[in-house]
Amino acid sequence: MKKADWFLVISIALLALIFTAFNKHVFFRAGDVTQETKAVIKVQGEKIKEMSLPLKEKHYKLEVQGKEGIAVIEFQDKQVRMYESPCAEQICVQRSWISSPGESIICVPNEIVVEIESAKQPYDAVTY
Amino acid sequence: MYKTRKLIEIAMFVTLGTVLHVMEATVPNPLPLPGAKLGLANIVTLLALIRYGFKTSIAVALMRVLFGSLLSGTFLSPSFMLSLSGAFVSTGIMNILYYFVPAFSVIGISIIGAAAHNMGQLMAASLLVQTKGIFYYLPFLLIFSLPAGFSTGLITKLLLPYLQRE
Amino acid sequence: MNKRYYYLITIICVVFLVVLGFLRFRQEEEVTSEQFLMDTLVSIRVTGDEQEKLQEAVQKAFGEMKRIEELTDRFQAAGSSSCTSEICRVNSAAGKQAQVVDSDVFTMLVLAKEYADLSGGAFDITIGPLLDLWGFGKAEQKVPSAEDIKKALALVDYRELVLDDTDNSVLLKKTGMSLDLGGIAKGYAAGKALQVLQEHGVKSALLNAGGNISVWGQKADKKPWMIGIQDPRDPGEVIGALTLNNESAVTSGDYNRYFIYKGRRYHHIISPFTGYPADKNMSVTVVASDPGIADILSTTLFVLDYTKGLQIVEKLEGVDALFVTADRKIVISSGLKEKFTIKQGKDYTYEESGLVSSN
Repeated sequence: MKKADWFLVISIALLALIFTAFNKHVFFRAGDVTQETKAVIKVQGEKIKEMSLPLKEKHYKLEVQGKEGIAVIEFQDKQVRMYESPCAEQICVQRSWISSPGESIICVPNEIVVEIESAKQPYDAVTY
Repeated sequence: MYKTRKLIEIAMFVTLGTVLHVMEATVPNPLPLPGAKLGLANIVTLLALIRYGFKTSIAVALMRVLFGSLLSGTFLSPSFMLSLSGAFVSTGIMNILYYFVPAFSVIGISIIGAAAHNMGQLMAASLLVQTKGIFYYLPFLLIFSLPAGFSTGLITKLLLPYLQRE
Repeated sequence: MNKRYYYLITIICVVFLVVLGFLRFRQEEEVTSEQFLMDTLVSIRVTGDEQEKLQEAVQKAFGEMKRIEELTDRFQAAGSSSCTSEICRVNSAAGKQAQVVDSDVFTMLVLAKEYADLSGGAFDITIGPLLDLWGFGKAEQKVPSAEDIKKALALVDYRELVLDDTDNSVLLKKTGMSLDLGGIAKGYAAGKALQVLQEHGVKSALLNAGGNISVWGQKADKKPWMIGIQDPRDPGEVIGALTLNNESAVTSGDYNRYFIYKGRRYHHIISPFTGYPADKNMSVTVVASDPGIADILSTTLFVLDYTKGLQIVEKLEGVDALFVTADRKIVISSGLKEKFTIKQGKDYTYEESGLVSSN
């Protein structure tokens, strides 16, 4: 191999490194292929917020305005739950913590959905 | 005499390239990296380039993709599109290097051919699946193209003297 | 001919092939949409060729479900002016006169009656009075007195529902009786929505109506649909997964809707036999090609002991069930052997139906 060949090998390796950095910061902020897990919060069918899990804060409470009133969503490590909801039956609060991809908390009267999403979801859907 | 020899060699290149192409498509990929291949078929493209130049190398590359995909039943399928773009881009780049940058050895040309092959494939793939998510694999494929290009380059280098013997 | 023409022709051919290839193998479009309908969250995911057509198909499918919802909604204040839904109208006329109803409503009622007969009353759409007593679907829930339950039970009898198919008329014989289509409407609506999607030429569809899953067509990656079944005692987990193919999976569980009264949990599936929440199973999942039938049967089987449930399921063609019994047993009917994969490491005992029904 000539000198130029070694130069080539090194530059390709460097290019690969640059692309790796590029990937992290340019292409994959939303976690297209990476296995980042995130909590998606939707109100009345509209996505209003995405939170990457686990959050930096150990505990975090988020207030969300739903159809009936303000709901409080609590984050702890990788888990999320509906902490408070103005709805009558409190089904979403009873649902308690969720953490695995594909799981969701659905509050029908307040029209709020919290979903855990990840690129690699083991199932197409879960029947419950 | 020369013409006959050229004809035979090109026929051989196309045949070998087709066989290698089919072979590589048949052997399952052991790496968790889609599209990572040794690119053995690149050997004949490179041989054709060094022996007979630009036009012949392009013809050999295109023909082996065509015949290879016809044989493995992937003609016009997504994998055909990937092979075609990969072969096209890599043959092009190898030609440019061979003619305009004499500083590179056969192995260097082969390495950049392998890298270009992967890039070409990824570009075609991103067009097909309409997502740039696929470029996530690019750095890994580039790294992989180093040993792959090196080994095919080495084989080419070892083969050349036999062909050049009159 | 000039040599250049050969090159030109070759290039044109190659370009043509490449363009053709890209056109043919362009990835399918996908549309996902969600709406709050039928007292739950309905999400539809479809794939096909054109974005616009898919959007239209999904909106039409939601529209169809909305239509069924409006026909079957029981909770309009029963009064002369505001009673517009078909079911509400039949309920207000109970014991008085027959009401002519929409053909979809009539079809649902016929289906409901058929399965009521088949299950010996385990499925009963005249359960309205009992549900009202327990207060499900309303803001206030309470445990009724035994006497009230007895009174309400006397009004629950599907045999007192008279269906006349000459003019699609419906009559509840006794005053105070009322229909509740909670165990069928969602599934029936899902079936109608799927039909709409198919008519609009979608290539694949995944319809999730609050955990009632229907799949149709082939996924883009050509793999079978994998549907997890929620662990009834650990909402974050599944007990296993089903591989489905143009089928629906509907689960009835004791964990979805409940209230706690004096330290006891009371869930929303009331047995038409006892008048209290059914306690034989924690959950029952039914797999069938028709989502309406899967919906009916999941409610039906939930009320029954699994041995009786299996007898019903094994008699029916193309219907299968998975029971998670109250004593932590997972039992599957014979048809699920190929389709169900249990998740290891769960604290349940596992049985396949062959062992049960042959004994």
